[in-house]
Parts: sequence; C-alpha cells; structure tokens
Amino acid sequence: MKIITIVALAGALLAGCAHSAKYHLASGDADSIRSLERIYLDIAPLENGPLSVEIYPEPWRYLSVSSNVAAAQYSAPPPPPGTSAGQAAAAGVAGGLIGTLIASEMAKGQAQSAAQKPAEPLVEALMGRAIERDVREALVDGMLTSDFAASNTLEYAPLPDDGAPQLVLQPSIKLTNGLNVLKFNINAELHAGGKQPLYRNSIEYWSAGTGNSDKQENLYYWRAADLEAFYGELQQAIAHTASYLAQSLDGSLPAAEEKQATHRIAGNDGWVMMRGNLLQSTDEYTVLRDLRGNIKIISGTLVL
Amino acid sequence: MKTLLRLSIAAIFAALVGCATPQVPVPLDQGFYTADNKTVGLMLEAPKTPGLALEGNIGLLDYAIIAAATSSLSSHIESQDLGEFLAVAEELSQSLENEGFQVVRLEVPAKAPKLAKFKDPDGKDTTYFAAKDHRTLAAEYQVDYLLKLTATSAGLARPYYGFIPTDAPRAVFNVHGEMIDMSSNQLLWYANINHAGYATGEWDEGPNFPGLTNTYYVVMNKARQDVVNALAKRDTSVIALNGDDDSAAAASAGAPAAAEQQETQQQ
Repeated sequence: MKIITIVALAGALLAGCAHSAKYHLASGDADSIRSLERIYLDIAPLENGPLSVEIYPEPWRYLSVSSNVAAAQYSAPPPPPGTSAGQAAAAGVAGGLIGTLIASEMAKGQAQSAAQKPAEPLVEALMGRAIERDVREALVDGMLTSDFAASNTLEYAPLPDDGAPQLVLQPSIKLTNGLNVLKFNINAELHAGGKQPLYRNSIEYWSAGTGNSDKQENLYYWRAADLEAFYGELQQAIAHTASYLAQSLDGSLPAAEEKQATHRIAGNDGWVMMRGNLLQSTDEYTVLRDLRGNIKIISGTLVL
Repeated sequence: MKTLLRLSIAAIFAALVGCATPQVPVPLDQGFYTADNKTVGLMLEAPKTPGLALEGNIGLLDYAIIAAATSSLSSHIESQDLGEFLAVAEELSQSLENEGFQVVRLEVPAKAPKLAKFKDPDGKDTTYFAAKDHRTLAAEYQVDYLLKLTATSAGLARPYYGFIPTDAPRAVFNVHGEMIDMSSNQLLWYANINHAGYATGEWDEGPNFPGLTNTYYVVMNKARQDVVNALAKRDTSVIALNGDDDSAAAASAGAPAAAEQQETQQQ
C-alpha cells in the first residue's frame, strides 16, 4: 500500500513536469467556417492573471539539486528492525525517487516565484488600470472590424443556445524572464456543436527587446509615464494578433514558404531564433507559422 | 605488507588520475589571422542522426521499459537532421578563404590515430598545447593548422530515476572545438560549446513533438553560431581602444535577445 501511495505521489509530481505556457496545435476547416452565418464571440479572462513572467529553465540547477538529494539518501538512518532486504531496497529506491522529484519541483517553484516577484509592481499597476477590460475591449474591437467579421457576421454577445457557433478567445500577457520582451498570445477555438472544434490556433506577438539587460530598468521602462510604453506595445500586439487571427479564420493568410527553416530575427539589439515557415517579412515584423502551426508575429527583421 | 604497499600505490595513482586538470577554454589567438598562405585542415565529426540520451541511475531492465515508453519520441528525433550544423563547415571555409587561407576538408579517420602524449614545456603559462602530439600528422594531412569540430551531443536528453522520468526532456547540442598549430602542437583555440533548452509550452505533443523539435533546431543553430563567432576575425583596433580582448565576444554573445534566453543557456 505504501509503495502504491509513493508511486501515485510520484505520478502527481510528474504531472507538474510540464511548463505552464499552453499553445494549441493548429487545426481548421476553412470551408465549414465560411458556411457559418453567425458566430458569437466570447473573450475569456486573461490566462494567469494580468501578467505572468516566464521562468528561466535551468536544467543543470535542477540536476544538481536532485543529485544532492540522491546523495543525502545514503546518510539516511537504517531501516527499522524486522524490515526485509527487499522492503528496504524498495523503500530506498522509492524514497530516493520522491526526494529527487520533490527537490526538482521545489527548484522549479523557486524559479517561478523568483521570476514573478520583480514584476509585482507592474502587475499591481495593471490591476489598478483594469487591464482585463482594456484587453477585452481592444480585442473585440479588432475582431469586429475585420474582414472576417463582415463576411461571417461575427457578434460579441452571449451564446443564445448550445450548439450555436462560438469563437472563444483566451488572451494572455507575458514578459520574458529579463522583463525586456512583451508577449501577447491568443488561444482561439471555434466550436459549432460538434465534438471537435472547427478551428484551433494560437496567435502570438513578441515585442522587440527594450535594449536593457537590467530587470529594474525594464520595470521602470514599462511603468514610466503611467504605463505608456506597456500600453503602446499592448495595443500593437492586440491589433496584430486580432488581424492575423481573422485572416487565419478567413483562410486569407499570405502563402507560407514551403521550406521549413530555422529563422533568425533581429530587433533592437537582440535576436531570436525560431523554426517554421515564413509567412511575411517586413522591415518591422517577421511573421512565421511555427511547428505547431501557430502564427508568431515577431517584432524585428529577418536575418538571412 | 607488500600487498598493502601495492594497494597504497594503486590508490594514490587512482587519486592522481582524478586530479587531472581539464583543459581551460582558449579563445582564438588572433595572431592566427596574420599567417600568409597557410592551409587549414577542417575535420567535422557529428553523429549521423540526433538521438535521445537517458541520464541518471538506470538499470538494464529500466532501459528496456524506457525504450518502449519513448519509442515515439526517439524515432521522431532520429528522423531530424543535423544539416544546419553541418553547414558550419561551408560557412567557415568561406570565411577562412576570404582571409587568405586554403581550406582542406579532412575525413574523420575510422580509427583514431595513435599519437604520443605531448608534454607542455611550461605548464604555468597561458600557452596551451594539445594533450597528444599532432605534429606527426602534419605530413599526412598536408596542413598547417588542424581545426577539429565534434558534435558531442545532439538531440534530446531526459533524466530518469530507474525507469521513472524526473524532468521533462530537453533539447541539447554540445560541440567540442579545437584548432591546433601543426608545427608546434599549440592550441590556438579550444572550446566546449554547450546549449540546452526546454520546449516552449507543452513538450508531449506526439507524434511530431513540435515544441521540442523547435528547441532542438534552435540550440543546434546557437551552437553553430557560437562556433562561427568564436573563430571570427576580430577588429583589433576596437580591442586596442577598449583595452579588453573580450569586448567583441561580449558584443556578440551579450546581445541575444531576451526572449530566446528563456529557452536556452550556455554553460
């Protein structure tokens, strides 16, 4: 019984191995979407609150913590009298495993909390500005003024009956661990009664880096002048993501390059790499379809 | 008594082996670029396909269980290629030829040549030498410098305790590189470039594992970029003005953008 409990606990801990960011695997049926006469739009609350900060995965740190725990098991007290050799071995293995998993999860928890803490003043400022409402209004506006809304009669209203076509958008705002890049993501799902959604995708915008490597300087940058830079970037992000989402639903996205490649995009003293198919490239933005089929709008120019 | 003495000698010998000092990284000696009409032999070694490496305390039975559980992930990563890393040979050849070198591509010998040990004449200075004497290969390869690049790890890695995974898999790409002056056996460049990163978002999205696959190609390209940067000719006037030999390296390594720093780090 004890072993079963330990294995169950291990399973529960392992479920936490996955990282928190969620992206849909893209799928869509353009013909079925076009045939819909009226689609009801719903905007879900911001995922993970007003703002989350990405943690900085440090595999070596997890491993070193785990190995410390593994080493500690050798100095554990001997098993009680009457314990068989097999029971002692099983308990040792299970104990070591649990210790390793707990240490690993603790290290991740600490990393998550360390990531989020520096951004707390910004989160508080955003809550004071009713960020939830601001994002919802801008997103609704962006979607309702798109060509897709005109051709499919998109309406922001409660669902009149179960089975009516509904487009649910789940927005989220993130800052990278250095607090220097803002990411805005929309997880979109269009249901029309069937079990499987007619459309699923994630559209994400990445701002250019602030150019600062210091977290406090970046925090100051986003908070300055009553969040002017933050809101300016967020408006850009919402306008771009809404526009590309509408085009994706409409089947009117620019044709993607056939060849998959690892693209390097440079902007404001920084660069990122991402693999996928290039959709569009301008002096200001690079748009890719990544390996999940998600659309990434990255502020910066493509480096050949 | 005699046995005790022998055991003591064996123990001391074993301890000394463990104390061997690893070679410290050697940034490229920019004097290399002042050489005229020299030939560089470029030897690039990499596994045929990337793979999944298992880490931790794993027994034989555990291996069998893990192999069955990860067959989909293993076969997916093995179906990926290393082409974007292998292209570094072409890129380096081009840049070295632009600097007036002749570049010869050397095949990796099926069996490593037996080379004598090389003793550093002065172990306390900052001039380093290859541990084995490569001078004997100069005539065979007909080159003045030997540039060896080896992809020591390519693919994915996941830690286990027995057959139970203790963390999500991560993409890894490690490269060992060295440039040896074949006339003196001096190490002109020596580096271990290690990149690793987790998938952004969920990793367990079989059969194509897009998050992990993306990270694999990103870390591979970062390793390639680091090799190219490390062997690049620096603007010596900038170095002189700043009085800092690492300024150019810092400029190229410090700029990476923020966003990607979430996914990879260099050891």
